[in-house]
Amino acid sequence: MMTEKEIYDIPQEKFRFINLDDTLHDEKFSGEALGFFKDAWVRLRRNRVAILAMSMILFIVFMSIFAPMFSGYGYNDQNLNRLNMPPRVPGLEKIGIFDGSKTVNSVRKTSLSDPEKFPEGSVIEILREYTIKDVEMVDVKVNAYIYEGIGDEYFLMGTDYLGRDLWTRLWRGARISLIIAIVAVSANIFIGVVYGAVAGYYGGTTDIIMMRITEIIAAFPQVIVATLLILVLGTGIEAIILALVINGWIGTAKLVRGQFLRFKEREYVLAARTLGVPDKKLIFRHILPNSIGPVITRAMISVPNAIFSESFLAFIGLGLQAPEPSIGVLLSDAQKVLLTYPTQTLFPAILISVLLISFNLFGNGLRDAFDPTMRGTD
Amino acid sequence: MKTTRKLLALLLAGVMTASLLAGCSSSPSTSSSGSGSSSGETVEGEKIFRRSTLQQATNMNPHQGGDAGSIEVSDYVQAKLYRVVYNEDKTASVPGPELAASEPTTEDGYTWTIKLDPNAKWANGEPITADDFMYSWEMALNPQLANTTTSGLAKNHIQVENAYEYYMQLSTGVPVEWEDVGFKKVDDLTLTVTTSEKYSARDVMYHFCMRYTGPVYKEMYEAGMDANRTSTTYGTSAEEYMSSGPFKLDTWVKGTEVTMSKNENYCHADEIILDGMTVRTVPDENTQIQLFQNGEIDYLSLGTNGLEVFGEDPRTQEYPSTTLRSIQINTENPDKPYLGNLNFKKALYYGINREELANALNYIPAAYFLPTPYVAYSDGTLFRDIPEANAYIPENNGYDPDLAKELFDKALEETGVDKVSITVIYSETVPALRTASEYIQNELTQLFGADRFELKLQSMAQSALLDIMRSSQSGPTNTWDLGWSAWDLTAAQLYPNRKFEPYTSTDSRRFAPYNSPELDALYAESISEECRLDEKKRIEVTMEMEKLVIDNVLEIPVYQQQAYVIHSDRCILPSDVRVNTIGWGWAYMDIDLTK
Repeated sequence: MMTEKEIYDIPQEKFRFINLDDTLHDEKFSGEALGFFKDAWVRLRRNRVAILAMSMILFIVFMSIFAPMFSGYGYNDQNLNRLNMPPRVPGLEKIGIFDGSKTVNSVRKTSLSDPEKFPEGSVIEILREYTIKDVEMVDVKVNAYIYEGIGDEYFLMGTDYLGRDLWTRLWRGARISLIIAIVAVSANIFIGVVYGAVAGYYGGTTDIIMMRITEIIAAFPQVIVATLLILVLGTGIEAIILALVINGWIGTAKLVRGQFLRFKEREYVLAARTLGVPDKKLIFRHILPNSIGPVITRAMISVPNAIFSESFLAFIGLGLQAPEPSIGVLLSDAQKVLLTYPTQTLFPAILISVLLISFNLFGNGLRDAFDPTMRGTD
Repeated sequence: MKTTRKLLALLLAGVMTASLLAGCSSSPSTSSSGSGSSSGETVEGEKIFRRSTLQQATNMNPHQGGDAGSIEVSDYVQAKLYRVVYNEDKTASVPGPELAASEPTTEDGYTWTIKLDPNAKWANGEPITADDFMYSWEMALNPQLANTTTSGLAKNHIQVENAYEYYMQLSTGVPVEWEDVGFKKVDDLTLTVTTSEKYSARDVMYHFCMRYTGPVYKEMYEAGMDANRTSTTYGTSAEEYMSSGPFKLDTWVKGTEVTMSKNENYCHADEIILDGMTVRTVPDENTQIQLFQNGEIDYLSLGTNGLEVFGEDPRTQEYPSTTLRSIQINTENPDKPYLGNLNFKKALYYGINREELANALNYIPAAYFLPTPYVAYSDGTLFRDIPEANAYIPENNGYDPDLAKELFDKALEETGVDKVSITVIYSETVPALRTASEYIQNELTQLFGADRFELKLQSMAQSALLDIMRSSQSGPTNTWDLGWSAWDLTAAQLYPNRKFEPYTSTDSRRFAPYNSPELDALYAESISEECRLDEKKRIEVTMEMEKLVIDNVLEIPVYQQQAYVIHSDRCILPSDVRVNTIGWGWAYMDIDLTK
């Protein structure tokens, strides 16, 4: 080992230049450079459930835009000759599901031979024979399309109480529900972010007053607010969106305020302030981006809540202006005939379930993806 | 982490499917087979008629609770001086004595003497005397008690001297003594009623058939009175009510069930065969259907679902209801002067294909104002069966698209408007109204063209709807354009001219600004003494009124409801047909216990 002195005493001629002909480079990063969103995307992509949920949402959005255009029926095309038709799907009908058959209860046996009531070929099978008051009665399974005399049409999900195509109405309803949800959630996020940011950044008395106001607003039960609004404004998209916005933004405001309380004392904020950055820029440029992850996640989780609230309001009769459908309106109409035409409830119920589960799972995926503690772990 | 999530997703999906299936399968097997269903093992047993209602009973006090649920029960436990009974062949109803011993007698047509049946008793066996009636009537009209339904005691089929003035004295400020009111006790079993105009015995009997003219039990009525004597709890529970009718109120669980048993002390108890009656509150049609199918109730009123389930069932009976749905027009809307244009109103009237709509709803198309069950003459002739009463109704149920279009063009020209944009309001509680509104919206838009005609739909709560429509009583308002309404006046079933009372320009119940002096004059004529005593003349004036109302389109009648009902096999009804004001005669029915 050389002593300290010896190191200092190395003669100059023992040194020589190296790499004189090469260009020096920084060491290359072994991985890819990852931005915030890209990093989140990488993690989201590995979450197969979230990706499935996302594709489901995209599919529903796609269908709600295009299905009503190509169905061949308008959402308000009434025809009183084809009320409450059962579903009939080309292809599937051959294997016996959704083949346009329905059960007609309590038919007098003599009516079966009356071609006015039961046209040739309409009866598929007799399900039950019995007598009431000495009259022979039957329950029969019929092909409703021949029975009603509308021949070769295919209503994929059947028709409703005014003979309107439910396939068209379902996707149109999904469209309206999604529009309501997205507009309401965007408004909530906007109000909540600005409100929460101001309260959190300024703190002190401002914060106390602003937070007490939110507590007062949060104390109004949503159903009552919605009912009153609809009484005043009448039913319609605007009233429902307003009802969802009135106290829907409070959660976001609290979340953003919390983030601000966390970040506003950080050194980089102090540095920026020292350099004379104005409050507005500090709030929106320097602090707010830190809370973008939780806010996006919250938005995703609010969408199904908004859809569900809209359906709930429609279900208790505070729905849209007829004839406009929404998933809630369709469900509300269908449950009135649940026992007689169960398929009318089935399809909107499946759609809303899939939509809610997808949004929730996707929201969960996003939350994990945006979680800063998971950054770079995989 | 990921596996747990996947598992959770799977689990969730599984639970959802399971709950869906469970929901499907459990419904038919929820209720065990009913007590009275089939297989004739016991012929001995109680003859109980079981039915269900959509609305619950709220108050048995005859002075209160004019709601359908209360009336449905009250009719069986509350006796009156007179009642409606079957005529000889049981096809129509006639008034007859209930607690009274005989028809009222008079010498001048103004002062009527009514004798009480000496057998008239409360359910506890105490006799019902003239004092009971005097007390009950005094309380009914008591201005402090603010009874909601009793102004009819003062004036309905007859007008009792000074009674209305006594009832209204707090708001008019003119004090009236009870001694001056035309109700007097002569002795324990005799009452006199003095009327302010001349009437017939039929009028007097129908007047005292009304529920609110019946007696109340003084002891309980007083016991339930509050300190200020402004309200009483009489009739709000089974313990605070004394029955006097064919049945007595045994138990009453609010919102759930009312049970009644035969009242042995009823003065016509020999006419009652049933041992009792139960009325269950079931606010959902589908549940009612299942109860009926399980043999737990004996009577079912069929809605759209019921018709689908029972189809051609031979037990199904139908009858025209007195409910006629029509669209009111706010003719004085300052923002939309075309609403007052006669051609525009006519265009709406002629533009509605009532027949197609009514078929879809299983109802009756109505281009007229007086529904089919209204009785014209005392022999039971129905108003709509009179040929002259149909001569002025436009053909094809008032549907004439070409004429409607022509009228619409003319209306636009006259008012100088390019596009009509109106909103129709309807009550959310009646599903058929939405169907009808959506149908009319679609139809009229196609007929008149979407570029010139826009109809928006607005549903709201019934009370809000009435408030908004009636706001036009206090002057022109732009709060509404068109609105659905229905008038079902009990009095009009026997006196069809009374139907037009709410259309006169000062009536407090009117929906729209009708302001038709001709109608006011005709209505005044129809209730004049001459018309009261001459029913031919009265009906002639009634026809004139209906013609006037159709020609001027005071409102747009659309459909008359049709009722479909089904009784179980056990029921032996007194008459095969449903009779106006008696209904199916359940009080007099029998139950076949072998079925």
